Formats: sequence, C-alpha cells, structure tokens
Amino acid sequence: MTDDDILLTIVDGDRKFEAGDLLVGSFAIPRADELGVKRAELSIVWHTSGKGDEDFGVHKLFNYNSEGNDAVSLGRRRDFRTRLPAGPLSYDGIAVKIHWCVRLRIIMLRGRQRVFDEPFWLGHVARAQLAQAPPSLDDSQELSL
Amino acid sequence: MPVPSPWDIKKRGDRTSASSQLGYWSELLLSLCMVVVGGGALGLHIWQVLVPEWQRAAQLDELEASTCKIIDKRITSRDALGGTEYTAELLVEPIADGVGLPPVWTAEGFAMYSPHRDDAQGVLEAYAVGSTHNCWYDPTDSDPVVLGRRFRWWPWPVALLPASLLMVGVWGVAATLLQVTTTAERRRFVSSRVKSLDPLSSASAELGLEVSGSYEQSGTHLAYRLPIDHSPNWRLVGMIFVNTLWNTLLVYFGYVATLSWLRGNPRWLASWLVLLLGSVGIWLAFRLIQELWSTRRIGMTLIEVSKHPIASGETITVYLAQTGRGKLASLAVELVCEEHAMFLQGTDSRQWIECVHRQPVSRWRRLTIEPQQPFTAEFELSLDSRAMHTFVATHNQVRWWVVVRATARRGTTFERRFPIEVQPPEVTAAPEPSDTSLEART
Repeated sequence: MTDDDILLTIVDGDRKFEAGDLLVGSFAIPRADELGVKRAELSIVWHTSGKGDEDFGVHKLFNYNSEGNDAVSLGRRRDFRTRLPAGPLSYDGIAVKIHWCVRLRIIMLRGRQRVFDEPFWLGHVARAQLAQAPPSLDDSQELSL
Repeated sequence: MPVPSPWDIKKRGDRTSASSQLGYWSELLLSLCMVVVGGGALGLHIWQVLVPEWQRAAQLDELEASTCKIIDKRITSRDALGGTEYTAELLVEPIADGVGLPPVWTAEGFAMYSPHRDDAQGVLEAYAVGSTHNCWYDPTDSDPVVLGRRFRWWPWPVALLPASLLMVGVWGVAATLLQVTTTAERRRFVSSRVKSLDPLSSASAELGLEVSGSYEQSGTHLAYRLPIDHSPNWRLVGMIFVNTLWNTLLVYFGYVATLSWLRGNPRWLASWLVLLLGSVGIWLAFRLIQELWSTRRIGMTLIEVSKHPIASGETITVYLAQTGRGKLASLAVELVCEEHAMFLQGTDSRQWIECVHRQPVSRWRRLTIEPQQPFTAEFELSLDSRAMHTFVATHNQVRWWVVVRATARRGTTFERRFPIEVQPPEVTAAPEPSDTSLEART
C-alpha cells in the first residue's frame, strides 16, 4: 500500500484552525477490497516531538469496519467533522513541539498496518526562541522603576 | 546557544532494531511462562503444603487431650528430591483414664523432615525415654497420636511468592493481548474516556492544560497567593541534618582519640580522622551559620495575583511582599517560560530544560528592608496574546514562573520561583456536530 492508495483531505485549504473551529475532511481507500483492508481508524490526535520522549493524545476516534454488522464500504468517500478542543495548541518550541494531525490507520489482513497523517495547525502561538540569560543585577546598573 | 554535553545528547531515530510483532510475541511468551511457573508452584504449594496443614488442623480439633509415656525413640529417613531427609520419631503410650493404650510410633506435632540428621537428633534429645508429656489421641483410632498442637504460620505467606508471579504473568498476558488486538489511538482514547469519568480528574488536565489544583489558598492583598516552588526551609533542614550527623561522628571519634591519648596509648588513625572530619565539620557549621544568617536577612517572599489561572493576552495585577532585614542592591521580578523535555538514555531518566521567554516585569534598586516594615509593591503583568499556554504531559512540559531575584549589597544573590498557570484563550462552547462521520453523498 502506498500514499497514492489513500485519499485523505482536510477541507480548509491553509489547514490553520482556531480552538473551537469545526474541522471537516474526508477519506477514501479506492482499492480497499483489492488491498485486503479489514478496518480503518480515523483519529484526530496531538503528539509531541523534540528532545523528550513522545506524548500523544486522541481528541476523536472514528472506527470503520469492512466486515460484520456495522460494515461500511471503505472504497467510497467518507466525510468526518469534529469541533476542535481548547488545547493543547500547536507549538513550535525549542525542546518541545506539539503537532496536530488527522491520522488514518489502516488494518489489513494478517494484522499488517499502515498509518497516514495529515497535519494541521491549531491556534496561533508564536514560534519559541531561546530567551537571553537574566540581566545582571549589579548595583552599578541603571535600573528603572 | 549553549553547547550540550555528550551526556545530554539524545539518540535520535528509530529506537527499536527488531520487529514490534516479535517483541509482542516475546512478551506474551515470557508472561505465559510466568503464568505456568507461578500457577504450577502455587498449585503444588496448595496441594502439598496448605491442604495437609489445614487437614491436620481440622483433625486436631477432633482429638482428645491426654498424657503419654515415651517408650522408645528413633530417627527415620526418606528419599526426597533434594536427597535423603531425616525426622525424629517417638514410640509413645497414650494413657486414657489411667490405662495405657497400645504404643504407636509418631512424629506428629514435634518433628519435621530435615536434610540434616543432626536436626532430628537434636529433637530427640528433648524427649527422654520414660518421661511423660501432654498428647492428643483419637479414642476411636489409636494410630494418630500428636505431641504438641503448634501450627506453622510460614506456609501461608510463602504462598504469596508464586501467587505474585502468577498475577504478574496474567497481567502481562492481558496487557500484551490488548496491545496486539487494539491500536495505540484506541487505547489512548479509551483511557482518556475512563479518566473523564473520574470526578477528581478534569478535562483540562487530560489535555495537559492544568498543572495542579494547589492554588486554592486565597491571598490577603489580592485574590490568589502563588505557592513557592522550592521552599528554602527544606534546604535549611537538610543542612541541619547533615551538620548534626557529621558532627556527632566527629564527637565520637574525638572521644575515642582523646581517651587513647589520656591512657598513654595514642590511636593515630583515630586522631588523624578527627583532624580530617573536624576540618569538614567546621566548614559545614560555617555554611549552616551563613545560611541561617542569610535566611534571617532575606526573609520571606510573597507573590499574590488578581486572577489565576491567567489566559494569553490578559493583564493582571501582582502584589509582591519581601520581608527580611538589611540592604538589597536590587530586586527584580520576571515572567519566565521554560520547556522541560524528559527522555530515557539507557536506563537513566534525563531532563532537558530550555528557557524560551524571559520578560522583565519590575525592578528596584538600593532597598532597605526593616524587620517590621517589609518591602511591598503592586504592579501589572501582561502576557502576550500569542504566548504558549501551560502544557503538562508525561514527558514534555511548558511551564511558566514568576521569578523574584535579588542581590544583597555584599553580593549574595537569591532567586525564588512561583509557578503560575497560563491557559489558552477561552473558547465559546459550541455543540459537537451530530453527524461526525458519514458516507459522502456522491
């Protein structure tokens, strides 16, 4: 399975959202039957990157089965929408970065899995910069009240 | 930009060199082994030790108390897994209503099998031939005669060992199966839904937006008093403890050394130790006095705020009170934001801290603080509307502090940090769309 086998889109063109906005998108796996797709999980997740070990959280999770009572046709386009939470907001820090994305996890026969991420930006937090060292508090310095 | 030391550089990239499936199956196999070994050992312990123990206790309740006479004694052996085991046996004659019953060999209630013959011999020495002892017997069956009704307590706690191994194994099997059959997103989603049912856990804590609920204490001047990050009193308590311990040892060695000199038999090693410990002890005492003096001179720092938590883009009023005595060259208040990243390097847990925001709020110079007249000031603190909010996850954090820094006239500096919580701008609550996922009408 390659990226071309998946159609995953977010409707808003510039992919910049504010907390509380409605996120709308769709996905389809046109060759689902041919590729042996058993199940698909679409989630709206945040995750961290940077120096630390990864943390992640799931805001919303949709499950699609191609078998059983609740079977759906994964080959056809499916829309999804959710209201985005207050946080954590997307953040481009020095040691800590927070990313948001729509994640499509596809579970195929024999348990094989593929994951596709479609990133977007939540909020408008400024990019972090290293702060300067604290100024000296020498008596000789001119200080303001 | 500071150059990180090689110890702080984190190994990047894919951290696993083997297949995750292989990992899962290996974990499952290990857990199953624990289940088999733990379950087997527990079953064996119950069947071979606990059940006979319980049966014996039940049997003893039905026996009749009497006395018996020791006729003869011997040591018998049996073949066991670890080799030959020995036990003491006595030939006893129970006496019922003054009449002697037929003698029987017994080891019940006073002897146990041991791999050492001497143990059995030691038991036999306590029972002289011809002596009489208390015993219990079954009036309907002369065979079981018991000397002593002591119950062993240790077989019951010993059962905890295989039981804990079994529990760890069962937990491991369940956790591994959960990992194999569900995705990471589903596990996290279910976990966050379960946490949301906890009345003590708030939704903002789940999103990493809440530091703690320790801001309930009201201020005396403004609405909220911020807690201090690390109280200097703990440092003082630590120093007093180390001083006491060290100097107690010094006094002991000093006593030993002095005694040896007075007796005309000087102990040179103890004397040199006293000199060595003494120099360190004097230095420790000097530092403690310095710290006590500094604490007395600098005093307490108090920060109160008009609103808490604060949101990006807001302006709040801050009240500062600094007690103590003496002269300060300068006093400054800053708003600081730090990123904390925790990671494992081998088996060590490491933390990387970057300061990404340092905003001067207020500064004063040449202050004189009197014991009865603390320095107080009220000022405003504004937060940029694009500032990052407080974020606290397991391995990554963004934290904000109000930092008070001061320099005394003699050059001594101190810094006190007060955690403050910054929240993202408020969102007008809108309902979640009902048709959250549906097939497109194409």
